[in-house]
Amino acid sequence: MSSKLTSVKGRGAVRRLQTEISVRAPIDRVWSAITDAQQVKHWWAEGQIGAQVGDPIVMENGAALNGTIVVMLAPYIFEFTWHDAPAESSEPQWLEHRTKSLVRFDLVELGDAETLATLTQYSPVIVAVGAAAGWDHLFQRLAEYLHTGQVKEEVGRFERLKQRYAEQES
Amino acid sequence: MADTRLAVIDGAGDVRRMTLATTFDATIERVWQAMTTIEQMKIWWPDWQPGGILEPREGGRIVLGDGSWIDGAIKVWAPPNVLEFTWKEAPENGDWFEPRTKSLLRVELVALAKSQTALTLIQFAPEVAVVGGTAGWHYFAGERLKCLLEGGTLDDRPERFDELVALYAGSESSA
Repeated sequence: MSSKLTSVKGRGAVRRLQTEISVRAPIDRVWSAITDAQQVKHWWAEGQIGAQVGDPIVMENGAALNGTIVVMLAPYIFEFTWHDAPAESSEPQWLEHRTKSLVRFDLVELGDAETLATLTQYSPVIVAVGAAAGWDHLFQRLAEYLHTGQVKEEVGRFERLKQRYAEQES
Repeated sequence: MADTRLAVIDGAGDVRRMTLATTFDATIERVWQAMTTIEQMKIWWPDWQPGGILEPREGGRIVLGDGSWIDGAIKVWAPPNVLEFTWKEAPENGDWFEPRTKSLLRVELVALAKSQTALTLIQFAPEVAVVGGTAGWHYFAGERLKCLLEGGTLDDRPERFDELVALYAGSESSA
């Protein structure tokens, strides 16, 4: 399994995060694993995911996601906002724009049973370290889910990843 | 001097992904303006003159020239970082990725320094169209837009596009 760190680019208030993983699964299988809430709950969190552009996407995990689907072009591109409304007054101004807290998955078919999944997120700098570590953690879980049909809980992995990013940033 | 590829083509099968990455010696606000205002776009991406509409908001309409080539909708409007729009909203043949229908273009900008900005362009395209599309983006964004932003003479030679097609020919084949 890839241990490549999520790339974190930019200066100022905003960072662009990107990570990718190649999984041994057909593209349609990966598409359903990232867009069907009944599957997403195994590697990410419980939640609801709408079926089309304009529908809500809600995840009941730590960094509560409550956004809107903006692009859904099966089986290639799935994109959504993280928040539709300002979450907390302490957050940077840009996060209050619904279009600016963006998460995009795109999928590329590498073979009949091999797919490249790429994640891109624009993130405020204050949460970038946690988000980068979070995507590494989640992509490893996604690959494990696709390869084995289940995910073993690995206590402390997210915290270790976060520590690596914090060291890299400083 | 030999040309260097700015873009990579990923994937196998009918649909490929083109990703072009380059940097400009310009502020992110300047690059955003050059890529999102009709008057500026006409300078570096002139195929569709005259005319054009760009409604700067999510759901806004984007029409370049007479609309025969591009008459789509803005899916993401997040200045100065992300712009995404479709080529055509109403599919002409049912395939969203067919270049004349709903092919989605994503423009991503990141400020690297006060006067340095990274551009990433991402587009999915059918295998038969991806080399031409990639050469086109190299020409328009990688060369002409860069000249506009950094100063220099824009290359108007018709053979330049053919040189770039040759540069990317074969790069779409699966290894």
